[in-house]
Amino acid sequence: MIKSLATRKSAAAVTAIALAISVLTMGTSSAADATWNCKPTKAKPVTVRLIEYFAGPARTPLLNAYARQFEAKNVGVKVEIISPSQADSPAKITQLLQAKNVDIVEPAGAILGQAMSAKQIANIYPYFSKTKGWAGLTDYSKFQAQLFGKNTTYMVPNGYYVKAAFVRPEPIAAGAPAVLAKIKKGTATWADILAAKSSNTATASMYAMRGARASFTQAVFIVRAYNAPDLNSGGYWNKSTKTSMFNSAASKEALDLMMKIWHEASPAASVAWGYPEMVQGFIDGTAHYLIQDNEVIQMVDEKFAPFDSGKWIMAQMPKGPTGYSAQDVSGGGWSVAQSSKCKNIAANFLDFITTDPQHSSFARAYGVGPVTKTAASDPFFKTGAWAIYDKIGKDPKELKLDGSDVAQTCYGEFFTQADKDMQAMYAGSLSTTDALKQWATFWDTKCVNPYKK
Amino acid sequence: MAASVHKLVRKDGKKSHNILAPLWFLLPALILVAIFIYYPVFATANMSFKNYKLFDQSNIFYNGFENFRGIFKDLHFHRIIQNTVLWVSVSLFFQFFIGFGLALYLKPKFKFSGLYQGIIFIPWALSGFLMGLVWKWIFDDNLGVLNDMMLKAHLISTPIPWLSNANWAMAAVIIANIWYGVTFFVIMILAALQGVPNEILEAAELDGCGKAKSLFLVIIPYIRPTLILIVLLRIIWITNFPDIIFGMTSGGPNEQTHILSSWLVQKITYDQDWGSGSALGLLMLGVLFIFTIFYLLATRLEEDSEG
Repeated sequence: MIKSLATRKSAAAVTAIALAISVLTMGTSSAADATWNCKPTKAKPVTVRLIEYFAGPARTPLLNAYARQFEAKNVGVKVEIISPSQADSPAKITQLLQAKNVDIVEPAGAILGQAMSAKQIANIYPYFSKTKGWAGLTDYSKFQAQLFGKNTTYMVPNGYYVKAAFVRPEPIAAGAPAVLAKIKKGTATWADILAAKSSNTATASMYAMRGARASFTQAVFIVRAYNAPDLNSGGYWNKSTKTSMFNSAASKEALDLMMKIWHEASPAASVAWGYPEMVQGFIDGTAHYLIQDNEVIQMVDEKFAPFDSGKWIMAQMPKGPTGYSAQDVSGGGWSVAQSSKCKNIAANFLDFITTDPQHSSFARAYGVGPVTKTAASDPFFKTGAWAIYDKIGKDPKELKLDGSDVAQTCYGEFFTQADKDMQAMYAGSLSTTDALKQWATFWDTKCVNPYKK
Repeated sequence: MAASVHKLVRKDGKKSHNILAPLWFLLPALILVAIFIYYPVFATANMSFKNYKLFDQSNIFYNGFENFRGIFKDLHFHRIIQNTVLWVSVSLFFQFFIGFGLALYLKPKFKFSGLYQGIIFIPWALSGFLMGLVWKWIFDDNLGVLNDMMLKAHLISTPIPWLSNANWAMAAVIIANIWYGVTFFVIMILAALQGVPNEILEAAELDGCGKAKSLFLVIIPYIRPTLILIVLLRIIWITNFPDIIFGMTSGGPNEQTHILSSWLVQKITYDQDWGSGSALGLLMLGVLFIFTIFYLLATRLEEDSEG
């Protein structure tokens, strides 16, 4: 009897302890999750696979060098960098996530939203927020890292991509000097870009239009400029009407102007231009005015002429009739796959490459806006061609959008459909009215309206 | 002799027939074929009846024939079919006749003929996509060497919009494909020509056959089985060859240079619509299968009637 009572008491105590442990560990599942407690040894090595989206000669060797350094510091860890071509990277990243055969991904563009909806990305905040890498991030980078909710991190920023105009002053001065003056002042509008068609020559045109993949971004630039400042923080909705910006009359005016710029101020060949062709078009002089991200600085500097030569200048993006422009300043980043068997090791590698001097070297070499405090204070990012980004940062009439709409699950489908619509508009088989109607319906019906959450 | 292959000697010394023995030997190959050919075909067939978009993996379900309906209803479907027919027929026609001509020219041995053959065969060793990129710069509207040469030769007064106009772009990709595929016919026909016995040709010459008569009455009938086979193979390969199109135009402008296989690649890689891509793949498989049967039957019937 006594024995039985003692057994019951001990059983009750064990149950109580077990219950207490289970309650305590609720909400901190990462601590108990074996995938967060990987302990590689020489005998039991671990391989962390990272796939990059923007593979290229300026950054891939650097990432590989960091991988080797990390391996040297961590016995039993191997880091494998997968670097598909940029054309293949969306499909490759999606496939690896689906096959649960990757640890770290760079989910640019539409991938982040779709991967999050499929629960393929892990929240690394509980672990990562205690690292040196996290402590070194700028406040804006911490905000970006927690874009999907406070104390949740699905993506650690690795660099910012800010749009600016790359301008060849000489041909514009010859054909449209008044517009060049405005471009230099930062007051040029989209209507001015059309007016500068007078600088077209037999072999060159004013504007580097985009016709191939991601061509709809051209439409988004101009439509946002015409709608700003009446935009939400993600940049796809009007604050005033709480509906998609594509419904507004200003959007119609903007898209009609874009089509005029395409017909009258852009090379006909640009209907087939994607990212490399646009950059090449500017470098070889087929187009005088190119809107692109900061990493293009290095290419233009090396392949066309050094910035100091004065053969090209940097300017802010054109503005709309109200004097505003708007762009996403969200950048790219790294995410840890939910299927990773060693999330702690993956997060440790992210910590390593996010910490300086690794990150500052990466940002300098690849030409992306820095995400860490020390790199952000580096004079390199405030002088020469980079000085424009300081100007953009300080201009209250150039709205900085947080990328929350681009990260929506619906964005991937919009991306592909809108690109096809752009091609149809260029070919004359779709009117701007019909395109806007389709886009507005899409956003109003398939995406999350931030005003109706 | 053949039967003895299946006779195995048992331990007790008696011989027994074991009809399963060949199957055991075939098994490794059968397993590999099943894994790498038949399983993907069945998986594709299964996926073609699903709403399977990578953009929204939380919404995957069987949707009947919706993917097939979507393909037939697509705005660009008719143009893509026309393009495919044009792409295959024009490419094949020129590849075959240019290839045949070059093979006849290369057959007799001459000084440096080996080197010359090697140079001609180079395109076949190169990546189709890479060649597409090279041709893209050749045909570039503004900076392409072709427009530049034609302008300098006063053949044209303004640059031809090779890649920005749908019809010119289709012509451009076909030209590139003809260049790429000629080599295949040269290699195959040259090999077949070298198999024609000299005695037959000499006998034909003695009987008064000129070169043209020898070609049509002796050489072509002799290598006819090879020609039938390589034309069939080439039709299938050209249909399934999106590389050059992707390198040069990615199917643009406005999807006007797509053929069925490049459209399929776009659906899988860019649209990330695996359901629709699988449905298109299945349709292509069916069409090519039926075509192959008819082609082989027709050529056999023709042979029988001649025989």
